[in-house]
Amino acid sequence: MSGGGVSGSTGPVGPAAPSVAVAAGRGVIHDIGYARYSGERRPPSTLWRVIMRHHLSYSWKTLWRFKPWLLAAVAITLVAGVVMYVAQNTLFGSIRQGGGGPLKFLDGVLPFTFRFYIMAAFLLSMTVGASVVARDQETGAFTFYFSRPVRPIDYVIGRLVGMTILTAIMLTAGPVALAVFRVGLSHTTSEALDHLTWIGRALVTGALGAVAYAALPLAVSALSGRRTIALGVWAAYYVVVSSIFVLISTVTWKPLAALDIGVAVVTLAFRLWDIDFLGGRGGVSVTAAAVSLLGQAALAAYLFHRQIARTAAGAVGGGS
Amino acid sequence: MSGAAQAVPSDAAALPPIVSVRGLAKRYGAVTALGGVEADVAATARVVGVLGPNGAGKSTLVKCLLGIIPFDGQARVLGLDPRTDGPAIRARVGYMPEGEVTLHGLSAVELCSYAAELSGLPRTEALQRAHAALYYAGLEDKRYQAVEGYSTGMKQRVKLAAALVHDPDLLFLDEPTNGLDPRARDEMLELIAELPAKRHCTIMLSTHLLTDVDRVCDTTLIMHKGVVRFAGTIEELRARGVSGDDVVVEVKDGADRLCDALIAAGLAAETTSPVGLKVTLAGGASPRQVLAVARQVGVQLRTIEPHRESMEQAFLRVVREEATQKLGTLPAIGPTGAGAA
Repeated sequence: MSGGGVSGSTGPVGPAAPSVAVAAGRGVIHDIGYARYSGERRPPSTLWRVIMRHHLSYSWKTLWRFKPWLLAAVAITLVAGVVMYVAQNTLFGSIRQGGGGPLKFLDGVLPFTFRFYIMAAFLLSMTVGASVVARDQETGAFTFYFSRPVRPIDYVIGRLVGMTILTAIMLTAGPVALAVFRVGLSHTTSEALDHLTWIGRALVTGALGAVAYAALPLAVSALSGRRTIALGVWAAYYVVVSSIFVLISTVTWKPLAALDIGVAVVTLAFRLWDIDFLGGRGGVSVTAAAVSLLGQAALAAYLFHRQIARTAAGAVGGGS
Repeated sequence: MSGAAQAVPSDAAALPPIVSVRGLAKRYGAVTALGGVEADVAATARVVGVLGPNGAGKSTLVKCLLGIIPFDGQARVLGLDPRTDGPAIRARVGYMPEGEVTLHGLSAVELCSYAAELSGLPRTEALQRAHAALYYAGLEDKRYQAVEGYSTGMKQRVKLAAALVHDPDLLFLDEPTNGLDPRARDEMLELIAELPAKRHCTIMLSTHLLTDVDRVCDTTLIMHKGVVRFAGTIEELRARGVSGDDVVVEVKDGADRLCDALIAAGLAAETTSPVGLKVTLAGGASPRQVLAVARQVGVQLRTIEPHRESMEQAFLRVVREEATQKLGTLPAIGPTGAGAA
């Protein structure tokens, strides 16, 4: 009892006493063969997989979300593979490997391809990552999700894993294929064994990049709330703010350049392949690049979850 | 509250309430959204109308019951505690929101299938039930079209299908007839009315449209300023504002003449329209007396029946009674034996 002091109970009415006064069906009610579902239900802790699968199918569904950038990544891989094969002994001019001899195309093309793969990853982040959560907010999809057993963490993990898979295809599949190709082009067994580590390097570089390229745009998308704003903010962050970080790093603290995730991925690749072509980014170490990518991804994931948890509380109800 | 059980059939009395709320309170800073709600929804209830003006706390109550926001007090939904079992409750509850809900680029069948999967159904089962739910909602021909291109009526039907695709035990419908033309509204109400029998679920229908409640609900819960002002059957709601002595008389013409004659005969009467009167049969008077007076003054009666409040009148009365009740002068509102102030 409180408030006005009134409490109550809806008068329990038996099935025989409805006050329903509707007309008989007019061909709009169909319920042929309906049987109540009595089987097992998926536990809520696995719902992130459903959301991840939806994320992947959503991205694949139309022509312009994922497919063009996938084609671009395939094209980059094919061109790089052809160059590696055709011009394997051509030298990169003054660029050296490990402070030793001049760099051959065969050994230098793969790390250079990351410059192009990150472009495809960025474009993917624009067409899917930065827009998907904001679109969910615009279309009332949060009501759809959070009036069901979905928890904010399920939504966040589902989107993050889905987006990371898509981005990893951009940043990892091609480089790993090229690494395997490089192993195949070895003239001796020992050379092949030496180059097996390339597969691991390609995986590490691509995976770290994928995590960052997935988490950051999703967080921006969640925080912006509107699709157009999210796209603008993410593009501005990636192109303008990141460039400012690099600029500031040249006059202050060199590792600051690693805050540009594109620089971090490319630097990581050059460092892991021991290629001396870093120029102004020479102050960025493997550690700085990895910490930047993982750190920004972790921060983005935290902000993403915090924002979704806040939004979820207001997603149901309202209006009336 | 305990009195509510008296109205339950003996076999149903053993069933715990589908929703049980004790002193449920929710504050947003200095604003009290719910000020100690007390209510039970019996397991045998079919369609419960949740009424209240804007800001009454209906949406907040739903959020609390679904375990989306924390609250003070006690609540049980389907025997589960919303504070700790929110996801489990939402797996067994369907929610049809008032606002538009679309997932970009999804067809109706994809949307419903996704909804079922998110409610815990296996993938194959989810797809089958999505088709069945859309068929039930009358969208079998349009189920492969993108929901974004649907008319308002079709979108409402998709929302209903998505809310019931996972076979919920309890269904919250928030303004389900919003924006519908009369025919579509009629069809939606028809679907809602059929649901408890066809899908074995209890419906809690939140709406501003009292005629909708009158048409499909058997019980109602009226909220105002964060508390339950009334809980009981529609008949009880109407009966509370009506004296058993009042009758409504409809005449062919000459209502004024009959009114004067009835007053002269010692009855309290007032005209309500050129052909309508309300007569109070106090002091042992009977409808036969009205008939006799009408015959005397040559007025032809068309109907004479006990006075019943409209839903609008009953709702407004319940809401208005608050001020009086604060002064402690109003008797308790609620079903017989329940809801004592």
